[in-house]
Amino acid sequence: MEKDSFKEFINKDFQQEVPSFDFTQDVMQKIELASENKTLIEPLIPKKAWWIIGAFYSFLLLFPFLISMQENTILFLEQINFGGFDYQHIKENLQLIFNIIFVFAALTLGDILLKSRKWA
Amino acid sequence: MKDTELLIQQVQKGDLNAFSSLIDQHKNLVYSLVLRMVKNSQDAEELAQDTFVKAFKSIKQFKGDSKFSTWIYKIAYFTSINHLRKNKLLSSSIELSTIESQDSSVLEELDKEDQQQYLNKALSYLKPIDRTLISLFYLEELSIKEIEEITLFSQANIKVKLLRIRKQLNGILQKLLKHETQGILKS
Repeated sequence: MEKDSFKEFINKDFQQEVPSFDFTQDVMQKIELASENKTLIEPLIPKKAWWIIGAFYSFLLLFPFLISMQENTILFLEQINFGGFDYQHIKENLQLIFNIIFVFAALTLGDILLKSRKWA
Repeated sequence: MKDTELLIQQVQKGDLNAFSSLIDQHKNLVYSLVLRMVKNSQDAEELAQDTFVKAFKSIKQFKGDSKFSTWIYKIAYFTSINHLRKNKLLSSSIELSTIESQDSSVLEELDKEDQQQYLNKALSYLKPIDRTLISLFYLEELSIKEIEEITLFSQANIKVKLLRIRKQLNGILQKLLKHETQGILKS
């Protein structure tokens, strides 16, 4: 589109409005304020702490069960059918799998926490 | 222009002082655009500041596909549109728009000194978006393609709108001058 004679009247000589003298400073203050607010929003309890709390409560819940398991270990192992899937012993099999997963999860979590410098 | 690119890279790396320089480079343009849209200096100041804060927050998303000025104009444009929409001012102005315009530019009949004054007055009668289109094309001398990037109107639509607004502006100027002449005659 050609700008033609209209451009002669509306051109760069047309007065350009300017913002206040402190404009840049005000924007920078707003940005800094926004960054500070961002920091404040950061949760007081970090995610890792929630994991530990979760693991601790899981352990508390499972503690009586683990104790009874220990007492009946020999009997319990005899009951497990390693030869194939046995519907009658499904409960015992699931309990064993759950315990193994729990131990692995606890070890992995411990490993992560030990490696994490931030946490240390 | 290379300075701007360098500054953007520095800001993207977290340099706040570089962003301060970017503001200095673009504040007048952004403020002018916003002021022409909202017609209120206090609101314009606030919205122009918000524009830069928004730009800072999303500067990592700026890939340099368009000019930085176009990018920040787009933010300013939509920040102003949102403000006008919130305050139900988006389709305000133009009571003189019923006037049939003539093809010849009325401005040609004016002294150079009066042109700016009358143009300012006439522009204030336009709808905010129309005022912005005129400003971007004639005052900031942006291309139709750049205006398309900012406003998201199609290029064909922008061309049609500009022609219509120009006619409208001419009509408003005629009306304003007529009022002025009548005022002088009465006094």
